[in-house]
Amino acid sequence: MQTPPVFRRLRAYAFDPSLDMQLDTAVLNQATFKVPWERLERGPVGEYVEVVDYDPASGRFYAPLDLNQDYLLAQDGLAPSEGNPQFHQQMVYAVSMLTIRNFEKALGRAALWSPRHRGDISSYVARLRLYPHAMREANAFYSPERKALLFGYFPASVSNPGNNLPGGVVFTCLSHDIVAHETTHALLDGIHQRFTEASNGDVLAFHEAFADIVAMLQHFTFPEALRNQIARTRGDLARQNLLGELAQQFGQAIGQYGALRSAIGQRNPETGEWEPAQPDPAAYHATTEPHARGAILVAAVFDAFLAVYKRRIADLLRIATSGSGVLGRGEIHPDLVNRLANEAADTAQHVLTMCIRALDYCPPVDLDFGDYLRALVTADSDLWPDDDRGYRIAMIEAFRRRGIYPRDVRTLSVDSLRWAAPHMDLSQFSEFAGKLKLRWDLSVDRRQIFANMRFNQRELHALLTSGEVTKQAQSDMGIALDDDAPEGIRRNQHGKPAVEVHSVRPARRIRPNGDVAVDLVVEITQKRYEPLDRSERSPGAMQPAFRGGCTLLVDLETTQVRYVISKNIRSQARLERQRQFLAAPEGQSLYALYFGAADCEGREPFAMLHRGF
Amino acid sequence: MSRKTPALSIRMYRHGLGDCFLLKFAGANGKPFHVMIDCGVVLGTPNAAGAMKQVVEDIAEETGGAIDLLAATHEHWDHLSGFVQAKETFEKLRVARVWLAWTEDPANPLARRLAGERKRAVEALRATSERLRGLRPETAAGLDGVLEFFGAAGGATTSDALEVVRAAAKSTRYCRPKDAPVVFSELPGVRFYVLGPPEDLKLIGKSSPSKGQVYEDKAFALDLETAFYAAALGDQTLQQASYPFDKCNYLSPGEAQKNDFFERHYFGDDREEKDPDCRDQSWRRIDTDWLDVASQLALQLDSDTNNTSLVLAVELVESGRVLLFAADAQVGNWLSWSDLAWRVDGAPVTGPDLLKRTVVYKVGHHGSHNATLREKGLERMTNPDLMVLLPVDHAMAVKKRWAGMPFPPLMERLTEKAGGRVLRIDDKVPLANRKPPAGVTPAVWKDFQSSVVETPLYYELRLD
Repeated sequence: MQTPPVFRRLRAYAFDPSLDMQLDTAVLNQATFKVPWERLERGPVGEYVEVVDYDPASGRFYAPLDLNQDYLLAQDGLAPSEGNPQFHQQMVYAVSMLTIRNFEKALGRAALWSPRHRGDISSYVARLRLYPHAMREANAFYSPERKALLFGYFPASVSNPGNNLPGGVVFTCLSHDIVAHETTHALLDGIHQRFTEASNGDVLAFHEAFADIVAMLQHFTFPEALRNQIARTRGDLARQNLLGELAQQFGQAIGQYGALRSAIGQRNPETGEWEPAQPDPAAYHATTEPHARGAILVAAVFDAFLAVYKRRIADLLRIATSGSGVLGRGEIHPDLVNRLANEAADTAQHVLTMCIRALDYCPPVDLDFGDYLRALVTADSDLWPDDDRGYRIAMIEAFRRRGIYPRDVRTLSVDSLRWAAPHMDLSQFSEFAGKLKLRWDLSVDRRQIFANMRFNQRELHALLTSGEVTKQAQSDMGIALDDDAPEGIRRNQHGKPAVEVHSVRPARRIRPNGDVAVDLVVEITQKRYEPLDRSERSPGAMQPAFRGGCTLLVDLETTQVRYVISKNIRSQARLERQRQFLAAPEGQSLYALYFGAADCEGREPFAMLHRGF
Repeated sequence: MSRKTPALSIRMYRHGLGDCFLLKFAGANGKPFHVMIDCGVVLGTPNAAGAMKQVVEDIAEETGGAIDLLAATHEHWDHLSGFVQAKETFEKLRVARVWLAWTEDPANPLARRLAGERKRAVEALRATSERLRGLRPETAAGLDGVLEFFGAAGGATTSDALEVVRAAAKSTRYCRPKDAPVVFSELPGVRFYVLGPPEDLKLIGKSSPSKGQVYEDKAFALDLETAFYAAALGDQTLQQASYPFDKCNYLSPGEAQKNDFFERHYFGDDREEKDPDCRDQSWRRIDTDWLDVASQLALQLDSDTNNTSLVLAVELVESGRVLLFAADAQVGNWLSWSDLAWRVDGAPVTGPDLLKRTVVYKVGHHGSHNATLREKGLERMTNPDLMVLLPVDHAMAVKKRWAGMPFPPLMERLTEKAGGRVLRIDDKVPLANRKPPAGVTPAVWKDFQSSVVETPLYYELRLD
C-alpha cells in the first residue's frame, strides 16, 4: 500500500506582494511551503483550519479552492496572485498550517484551540476559521469568541504608498507575517486563555510580542530568502534586512517608510535613513502602548538570537578569512553563504523552540516580561541541560540591556532565574496521577485529546475541592480554598471558594542523563472581584476581576512537583499594582468611554488593540 | 497701568452635562467686566431649551446685558447648544468681542480643510448609523452618541450655533497660541493667554494617551473612509470601484445560501449534521464586523474636534495667579502647551509656568480619562491654593453610556491636589453641609465654603 506523502507543497509569498515589485527581492519572495500533508476538502478545510471566504463589505462569497485538483497537485497549488481570491485562500491556509506545525514541533504535542464557552459549558472547537476578506480596513485580528481570524483589506495611502500603487488594494491575508502573527494569537490563546486580560502592562504586550517573534523567526525557515539576505548583508544580520522586519507592505501602505515593525532598527522619519536600534534600559518603564512595549520584548529575543548566531559563525568567518575574521570587500563566497545560512536557521529554530516551550512554564495569569524570562531559562534548562551554545546567557543579557528584570530574584544568574523547586508535599498527587489519561502525542485524535483533558481537569478539580489540600500547599499554589478566603473570591454552589483547573497537559523534557521524561503541566486559577477604587464596594462600582493561581510542573514518574509558578490570589501588593495599572490613563481607551468597556474588552480584545484606540 | 488684581467671581452653571461659565471682574473705575465661556448642554437632556434659557436669562440679569468677551471653545453641542436653544434671549445681549479658535477661521486654509473633513465625516457617519440601526444596534448607539456632539440629525447643528456666536459681535478674533497675551483697557491687571489649539496637524490629531502606531496618516484615513462609506452608503458607483477584485469567481449571498459548501461552513444550522463543527454556524458569522470601522472613524472625528478646543489661561497680574479654562482639550492640545513661550514686559512666560500658577482649573472634557494630562498637566499645577471646577453630570453621562465620566482615578487625584476644593455641578449635598475632606484643616475648609455661593442654577466662586 502506498503511504501518503509527508508534505503538500504550496506556493506562496515568503513575505508579501510588495516584494514582487522590486527586482532584487522578487526572486526570494516566491516560496514553496512544505505544509504537512492532510486530507483536505474544498475551502481548504482540513484538520486544524477552515478557510471560508466571505467578503461582507462587497456582498460576495468567493468560491472555495479545491487543492486536490490534479493540476494544482502537479504544480504546487496556484501561482501567487493578488487578483485571484482562490490564491488568497491558499496563502492563508499554507501560512497558518506552517505556523501550527512549528508550534507542534516545539511542544511535542498536538495544538488545540481554546474551547468555546457558553455559560458554564465549554466545548471542543476542531478548526480555526479563517476569513481572508472579512473587513475593509487596515486591520486583521483573532476573535477569541468566534475562534476565527479576520483579515481586512484596504486602499494603500495615496500620499505615501511606498512600493504600492497609490490607492491600490492591500490584502492583509497575503502577508506571511500578518497571517503567522494572527495564527499565533490563536495558538497562544489555546494554551493560555487568560493572557487576553490586561491585568498589567505586559500581558497584551506579550501577546503581541510573542506573535511577532514567531512570525519573525519563521522567516529563517525559508531557504531562498535566508540565503539571499545573508549574502546581501554579508552575514551581518544586525544590518537592515527583511528577516528581522515585519509586514513590509502593510507598513508602507499606511504611509510609514518601511516595515510595520522591526527588531533591528527603523527609518528615522526625519532623515529617511535606516538606523539600527539601540537598547534603552529606560524604555521598558516608559512605554505603555502594547505594540510598542511588545516591540521591546521582540527586540530582546532577536538580540539574543543575534548574539548566539555571531558566536556560532565566528569560526566560519575566521576560516574564510585566513584567521583575521575580517571579510574583504565585495560579495562573500556562496559556500560561506550556505554555511552561514545553516547556522542562522539552526539558531533561529532553537530560539523559536525556546520561546514556544517557555509557554508551559508561564504563570496562568498576570504574566509579565520578567516571568517570561524565567520561563525561558527554565524551559531551556529542562530541554538542554547543557547550555554550551550560551542561549540562556544571551537571553538574560538581552533582557537586562532593555531593563527587563524579574521581580523577587536576587541575582541574574541562570540558577536564580530558574523557577524554584518547592518544598511542597503533594503526595496526594501520586494516587491522582495514576488515574490520568495522558495520551497527547501527534498521532492521537485531537477531539479525544480534548476529552482526555476534560477528564483530567475534573479529576484534579475533585482533588482540590475535597477539602484535603493543606494550608501550606494552598499558600504555595497561591490559591485560597478554605472559608477564610478573601471575600471577593467567587464562591461555588456549595458556598466554598471556587477554583478552576485550566489545563492538565503533558510536556516532554530531557533528563540530564539523556532520557526523555514527561512532566504534567497543571494550571489552577481563581477569580476575585475587587473594586477599582479601594474605598468603594457599592454594586455600581467598577469591579474588575483579579486573578491568581499557579502553574505546576509535576514529574509523572516520581510525582514530585518540580516547579510551582504562582501568582498569589491573596497578594495585596499585586492587587494594588493591578489597580494602579487599570486606573492609569494608559489602561483606558476612548472606545471604552463611548462604546462601553464591556463591549471593548469582552467581545473582541484584539480588534480594538489592533485598531489602536 | 494699575497692576492691582480686581475682585473676581466665576459662575459655573449647573444646567446639565455641558459647559457654561460667566466670569465677572471688577474692571477699571469699578465698572464690571464680563467674560462668557461656552453655553451648551448635551443632546438628550430633558427640557434642554428651557434649561439653557434659564441660564442665558441669568447671565443677562447678572451682567445687565453686557458681555465684554464671549469665547466659544469648539464645535460641540454640549458647549454651543444654548446659542440656538436660547437664541432670542442671547441675541438681546450686547457682546463686545467674540473669540474663537483659529480652527474656525474661514480664511485659514488649514482650518478650512479641517472643517471640510469634519463636515463630510459627520454626514457620512450619520448615514452609516442609519444603516447600522437594525444590523448592529450597539454600534449604532455608540455612533449616535458621538454624532450628537454635532447636534441632532435634521435639527439645528453646531455650525448653526457658531453662526449665532459670530453674528453676536462686529468682529471675531481667531485666536492662536502664538499671539501675544491680551490686556483689555477696561480691565487692567488681567492678561488673557491662548494656549490652544496647536497649529500643528500632528498634535491636533493626537487624542489618546498612547496611540497605536497605525492610524497616524491623515491621507490614509480618508482613503479608508472612502472605501468604507462606499459600501456603507450603498453608493453603486463607488461600490463598483471599491470591489477588491476585477474578475473573479464569486457567489451572491442568495446563491451562497443554496451552495453546499457555504451552507455547511457559514449559514448552517443543521443539528443532524455529521460533523459537529458544522452543526451551528450562527456564532461564527462575520456579517457586520466590517461596519465596526465606523466606530473608529467616529472616535477620530470626536477627538479631532475636541483637540481644536480654544484653551484660555487668565492671569491675574498682581498675584500671578492663573485661571485655566481647558475646554475639552485632549492630549495633543495639552502637549503643545509645554513648548509655548511669550515675552511679557521683557520677561519670559511659558506654558508650564502658567500651569504652575494655576489656582482655578476648569477640568477638560467633563473629567474623562484623556482630557487632563498627568505629568505634563495636572502634576504641574503645584499651587497649594488650587481649586477645581468640574462641569459634569454623572447620571446623564451614564444614561449616555459614558460611565467613565468623570474618570474615578482622575477624580481622586483632583480631589487630592485641590485639598477637596472641587466643585462638581451634580453634587447633591450642599457645600455648606459637607465636612472637610481628610487632611484639610477646618479653617481652610471654612474659607472655601464661605467663598462659594451655591444655588440650584449655579456655583459662584469668589476670589479676592
